[in-house]
Amino acid sequence: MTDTRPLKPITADARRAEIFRLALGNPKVIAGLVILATLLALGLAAPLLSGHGPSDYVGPRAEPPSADFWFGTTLFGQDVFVQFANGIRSTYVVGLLAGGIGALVGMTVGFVAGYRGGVVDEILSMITNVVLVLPAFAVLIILAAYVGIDSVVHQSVFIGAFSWPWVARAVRAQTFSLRSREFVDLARLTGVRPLTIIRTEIGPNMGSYLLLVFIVLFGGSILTAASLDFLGLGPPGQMSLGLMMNQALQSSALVLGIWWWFLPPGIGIVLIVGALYVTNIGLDDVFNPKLRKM
Amino acid sequence: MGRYFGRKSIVYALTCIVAVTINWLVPRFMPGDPVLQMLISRGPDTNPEQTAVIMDYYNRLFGFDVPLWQQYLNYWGALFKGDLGVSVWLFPTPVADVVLRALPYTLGLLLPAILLSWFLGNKVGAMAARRKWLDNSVLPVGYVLTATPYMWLAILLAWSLGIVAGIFPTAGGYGFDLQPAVSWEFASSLAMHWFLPFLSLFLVAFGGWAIGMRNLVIYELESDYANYLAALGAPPRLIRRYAFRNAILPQVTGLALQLGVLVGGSILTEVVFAYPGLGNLVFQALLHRDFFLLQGVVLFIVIGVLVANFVIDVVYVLVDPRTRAGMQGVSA
Amino acid sequence: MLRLNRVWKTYRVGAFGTRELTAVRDVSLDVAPGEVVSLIGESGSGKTTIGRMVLRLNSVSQGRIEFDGTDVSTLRGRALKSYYRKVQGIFQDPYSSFNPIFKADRVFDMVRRQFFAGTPNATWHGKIEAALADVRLDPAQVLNKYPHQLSGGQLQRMLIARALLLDIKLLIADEIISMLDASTRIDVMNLLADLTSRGVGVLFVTHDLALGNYLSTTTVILRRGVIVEMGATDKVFANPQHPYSTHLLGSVPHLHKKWSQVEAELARHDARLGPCGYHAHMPGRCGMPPHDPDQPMLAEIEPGHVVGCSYDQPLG
Repeated sequence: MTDTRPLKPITADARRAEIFRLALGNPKVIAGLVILATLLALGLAAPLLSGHGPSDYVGPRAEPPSADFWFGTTLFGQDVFVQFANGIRSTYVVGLLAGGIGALVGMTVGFVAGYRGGVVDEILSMITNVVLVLPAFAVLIILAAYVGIDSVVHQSVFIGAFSWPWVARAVRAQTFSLRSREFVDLARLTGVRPLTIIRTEIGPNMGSYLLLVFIVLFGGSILTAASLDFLGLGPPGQMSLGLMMNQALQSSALVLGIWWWFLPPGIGIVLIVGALYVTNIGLDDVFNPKLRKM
Repeated sequence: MGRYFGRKSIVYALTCIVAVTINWLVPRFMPGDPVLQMLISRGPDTNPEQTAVIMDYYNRLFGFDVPLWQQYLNYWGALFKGDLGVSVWLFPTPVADVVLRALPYTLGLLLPAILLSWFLGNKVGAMAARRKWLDNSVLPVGYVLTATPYMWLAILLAWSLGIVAGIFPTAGGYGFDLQPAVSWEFASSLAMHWFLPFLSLFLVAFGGWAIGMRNLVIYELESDYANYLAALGAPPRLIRRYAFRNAILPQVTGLALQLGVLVGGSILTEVVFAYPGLGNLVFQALLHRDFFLLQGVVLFIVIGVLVANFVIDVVYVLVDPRTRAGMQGVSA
Repeated sequence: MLRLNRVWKTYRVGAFGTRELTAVRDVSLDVAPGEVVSLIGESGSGKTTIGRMVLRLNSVSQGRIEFDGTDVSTLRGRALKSYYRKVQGIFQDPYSSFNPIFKADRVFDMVRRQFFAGTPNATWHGKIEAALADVRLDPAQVLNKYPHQLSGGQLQRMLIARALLLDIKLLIADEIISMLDASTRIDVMNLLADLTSRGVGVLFVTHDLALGNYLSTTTVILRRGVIVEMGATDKVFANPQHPYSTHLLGSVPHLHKKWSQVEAELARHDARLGPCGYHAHMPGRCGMPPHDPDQPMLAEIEPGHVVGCSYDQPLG
């Protein structure tokens, strides 16, 4: 027997709640978010956890993990745990900021190129392709070396400035196909301005995709920032996970067997970036049921 | 077809000009005198005579006495002659010589790592797409590998297989006690020193390719044409082969997009292993504030990546049946 | 009310617009209040492009589109908005006309936000209910629903209701019933007839001759962007002059006749006949460009019935 009752009206809130329910019922999303939240809490609590800074010489030299120093101390007697917690915090800041900047630039370029088309599109696409084939990391090294990076915000701007092209390309392609849909024509016939159409008609149709894009940029920015920090090109005086690895390597921690110095920063990065990716596939399962069957 | 390459060539030419211009512009418009700053940072002046020579050389090189546009043109002219300036750190060796000496090491690392990781990653990813048990192990491992920073995996390998297990050496391109020679001893030392940096580059890249291929093949297997073929009673092997062929094209594009990242990865890996390639040069140049060396190496890397990108574009056209048809004049 | 005066549309295609493609060529026509003008042609004939140009969704390459004497392409900002208050469009695919992630009645909200920002809630709801009643829709069935919960017929009627909320004078209906079931088609056609009795002019774009005949006062037959025949519907249907129209009308019942056959027959016709309907009234010879560039492209063969040269001429 088929159900002939009229469908229950679904409100926008109900739909959002449905997606939310599906997302929170997805073990990957849950696992990813729990790891991210735990590490974020650790990063935020970093200044409260101890009375000293990440670079202060507070303990014996090269002490293995103990009750006093949970992650041990560096060759110079700095508290690895405090360094780790501070590094986690700046990792989040860089990821959010640089990922946000990259997403913003990429979406703006993609939306405008895809919606306007014509000469605007030709020019923006050309710029996108140029930045796309430029090896970003090499250019970042030159910029960081000459211009210098004096803060995490500064570093995020640099990273974001080179991470957007693939976003722009993807957003442009989707905008292009959405633009020719008739509901966009109808909005134009209602006298809605182009920017408003992008924001209220086209953007919402790509909402889930844009969230996934941001998460990927978030993770990628973290890896790039850690790489720059590792080369000693990070913001001076700012403890980070990359800088911890740099100092450990420069101080021969490998040969000296001070594993508690160089293992935590890597684990921290792998956990954060890995958790982001896992959240991403979880959300992808929710948004694109095709992969869910696997 | 001609238009496709015409358009690509414009992009590459523009990118090249942008890269060279950034390289020229940045040091010139930075506050302070880079030459002086560089020389100060070399530490106490032990050899005033040499310092004067270097000062003089670089001031002439910058050519501050001619107008800006002429400085820019001179820069291009020098570039075409292969003149990247002279290293301060290794004064008076020309930067081009330093770069060429390091190049074989980087290529020896990068080429096998990129090609092998791409081939094996695609194979394993495609297999994982249809075998649940394999998928359950490939997927998590793949994601962990792509989430791993290159330098940390390198540190892990150097520490575990190098220092703790003592199997592989962890620094340099060959034994410190050896001189480059065509001998069995030198070759084996070279191979031993090569293995860990290669492995670390290979593993991170491998994870990314495997995951990408797995997802692409699943999308293809779910597509209408695959369902249609299945409904017609086509053998699963055939369908999988079609799916693989369609999925491989985006992976070729992906290779082009990932080149920059992979080259960045090799810089980091070489630093960890003190491997005498371009990456280590970058690091040494940064340590010694040898900006001319740094610029030279980076410019070389950028142009190298552009050339490789172009090669991949050509390959893409050759393997993509749509563009191939276009070349034979089937479609306009 | 609406007047197209020698309108052209050329698209630039290829990289940096190196090639040109003419979609509409020298088209002139009028739509009067209360009149239904059918624009009939196969796909690629430029009929949709004409509708989109009137709606300002595409720009005009050459010529003028006038509405009540004003050149439409000069309208900006407030003037454009008041144009859209009077001129509206409805498109072929009802499902694509609604943003799938929002509820269908959002199209009404958009009209309110853009045109009736000051209207109090109660007045507005009354207006919506009146408009829905006009298109014979039950508010309880269509409001607060997502597009996929409604039928194509319901959605198209909601779009007509949306147009009714405005002070619409001209409606561009682009293949609006070709994606509906036969049973709902006639209802929507009758709604259009209601509109004309209120004095609304309709530009009815279709590939379906029977539909054109059912409703329209004037019929325009387009081929490859050119008007081949135009006139009062009864005259064009009773006495088609252009061979293309003849075949079009003749081919309605012939289900198995293919366009390629029609093309072949047209070619044979060219070889067989002497001067065509156009050249019987105009100087010049079939297939040759007219001596005078100002010579009209259409010749009047009887009052209110014009036809173009039937030779398949390689224009411009």
